[in-house]
Amino acid sequence: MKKSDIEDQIENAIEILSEFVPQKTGLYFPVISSALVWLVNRHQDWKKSIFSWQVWPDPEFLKNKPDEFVLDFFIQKDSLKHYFQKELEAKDMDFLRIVFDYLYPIFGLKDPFLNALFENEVKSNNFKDIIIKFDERVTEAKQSLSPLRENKEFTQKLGSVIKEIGALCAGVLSQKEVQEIVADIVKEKIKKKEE
Amino acid sequence: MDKKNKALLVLVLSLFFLTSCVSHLKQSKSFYSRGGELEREYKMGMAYFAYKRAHEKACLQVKSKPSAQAYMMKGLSEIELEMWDEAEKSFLKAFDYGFEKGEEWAQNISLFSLAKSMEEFGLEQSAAEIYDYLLSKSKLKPISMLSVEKYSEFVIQNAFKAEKKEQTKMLEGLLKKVNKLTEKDLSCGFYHYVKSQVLSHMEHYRRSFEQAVMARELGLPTLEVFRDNDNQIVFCFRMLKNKLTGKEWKEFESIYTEWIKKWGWEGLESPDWKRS
Repeated sequence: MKKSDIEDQIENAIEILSEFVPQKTGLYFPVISSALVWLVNRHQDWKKSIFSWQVWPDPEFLKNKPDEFVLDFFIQKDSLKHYFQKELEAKDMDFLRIVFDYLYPIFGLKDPFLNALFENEVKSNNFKDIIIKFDERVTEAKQSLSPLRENKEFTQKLGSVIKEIGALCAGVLSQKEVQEIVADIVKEKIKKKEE
Repeated sequence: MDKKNKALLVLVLSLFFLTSCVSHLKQSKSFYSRGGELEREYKMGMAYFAYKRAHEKACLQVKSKPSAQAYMMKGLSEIELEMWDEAEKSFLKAFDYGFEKGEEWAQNISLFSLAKSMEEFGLEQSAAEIYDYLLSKSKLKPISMLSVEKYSEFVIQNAFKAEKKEQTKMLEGLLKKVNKLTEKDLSCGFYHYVKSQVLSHMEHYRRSFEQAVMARELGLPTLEVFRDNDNQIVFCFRMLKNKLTGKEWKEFESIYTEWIKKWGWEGLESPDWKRS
């Protein structure tokens, strides 16, 4: 499978879906990207990734972890270990726990939606910005996604384009590669619109 | 129209309405169980739509031919859609129509809603007492699962602030409660997941690993919980690597390797979803 074929398919998908997702909200990219990430990971659960701010009552993962688990999370990833070296050496658990709450869903659970929402910060390992912007950006995303959740036409169209791409690239690309392809296409489109 | 034809028309119409009523209830049940199946496959978005359809069908049934079963289906789908007030009313209606458990279920939902409100207003201790009651007493599984999650977070958070001796006592108490849940419903993956988390806080990594394996095999309610459980499995592996020696380690390593082979992991510490 040539990468350019996949890119063509993704571009086509973005074209179709762009009428539903307001570009200004900044959700244009994470919605499509996270849906595709789930798909290429063969979870076939793209709806969940989009509507991950679900309203139905599933129990969540337990957020209070043992100290060792929190420390292990920071130690296992070189960039985190390096960035929080001072706090790790001082075993400043109060500080590390606060940071962990923000960073674990992104780097530990690899939540595709959050990864796309903080794409630039994740790429540049800008942990500080993720923490500062997290609450505001996530709240904004939640509010903007609510109308989409009830939009049957959007769900149907997304379903069909994702299915088409899935037939081409399921299992071929990694989460990171998909995100990069989608990001490049979306950036190009936004740039063109602004010109 | 003569009398004979009228009677025939009435019979045909009655049959039509009867079959359409039966089919609403049947469809509601079918959508509801489909929702459960989809949830077990982590297709949460699709499960949500199935529950929505189940609710729509139950509402139609309630309108055309109200019954205990119709209200029960309405209430059950409302729980899945987090329509707490409506669910409470539906179960009370089901009770009116002769469903004995209806009143108790309505009461459980009412208590759960109360606990949630108390938590939001900062009355965490009182909320925890209600969650504690519900996790052991509620016969409604979704309520029991949500309550054990909320109660466990409360106890663990307080255990962090306590002295070592008191901390151990608190975690042991919590473990006892979760044990009762797994004894009551051995097939619920989420209860095993919670147990694995509690055991990890108690530094019983081998047992924590075993519970996490059970949770994975039985299925978990969301992908986030599923991934967190995988991280727990890897964490236990790392901790035991430092802790165990000689024959004990070799035995554990061999069991661990068998499991990850079954799950198709790429390496000892790399679940499939972590590939970059």
